[in-house]
Amino acid sequence: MNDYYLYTFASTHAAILTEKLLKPAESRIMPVPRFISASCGISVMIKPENKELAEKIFAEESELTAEEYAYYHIYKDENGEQHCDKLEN
Amino acid sequence: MRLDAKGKQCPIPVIMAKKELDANTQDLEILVDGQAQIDNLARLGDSVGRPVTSEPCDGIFLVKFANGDTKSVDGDGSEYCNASANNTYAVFFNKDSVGSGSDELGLSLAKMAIFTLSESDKVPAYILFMNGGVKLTTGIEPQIVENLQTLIDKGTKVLVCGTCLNFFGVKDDMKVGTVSNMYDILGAMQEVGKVITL
Repeated sequence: MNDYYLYTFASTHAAILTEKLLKPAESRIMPVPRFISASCGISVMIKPENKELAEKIFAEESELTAEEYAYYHIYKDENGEQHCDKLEN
Repeated sequence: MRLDAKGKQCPIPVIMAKKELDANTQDLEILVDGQAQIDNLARLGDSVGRPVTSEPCDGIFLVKFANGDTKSVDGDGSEYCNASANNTYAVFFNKDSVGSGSDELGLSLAKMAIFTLSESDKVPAYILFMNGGVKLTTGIEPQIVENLQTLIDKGTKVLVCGTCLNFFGVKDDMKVGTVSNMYDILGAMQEVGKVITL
């Protein structure tokens, strides 16, 4: 997985709700990666090709406040090094 | 001398062989059931300067030690037994969720478990589905199908109980894996080093 967008959440329920919400954008759930958090959690993964659609649906329909989630872009650069950029809520 | 270690589990064949090797017995051969025993005897042989060759023999195997002087090495041979030589594993889903308490959470856990398996370096030799577990292969969750396919590409065999598919009326809905039966599924469980039931 070399390039993806990731939503993490303050609660598992928010995660499951958001997964359902973003189904049209082919949402996938995965454990929160260790480089983001040591505690367990469900995160929602969006493939790059679906980023625009996901962000649109999320902006229009999600009821989460900014404190309730975080949004990241995780990708590998040309040298194969992984980056994790926290994006604006 | 030909030793008979048929039906004997490690460390017995290795101990039998080491005893003769320590006595510098030449033309030493030993009959064993399988690869695990051959591997352990090979380790012993290399260690004492008497390397082995092996050949199939009437459904089992004959291991021959090279002639020569046996190097003196302490121990009775059991040190050469790798107790966890079989480090293959199978994952068994017997329902369409992981754990109990919440079906919704259970399904999320199943999705995440299969995702994590698909990303791991050491993939299972088998993933087995029975009873409600077979529903996971029917495309109710696209990511499960994708991740199971990734695992298949990495060498995992995905076996799905045909009787169960039939029972739930989803025989034609299986999207990934091989329709299987009790013999093959049980056989897989017996073959691997450990079975993890989620």
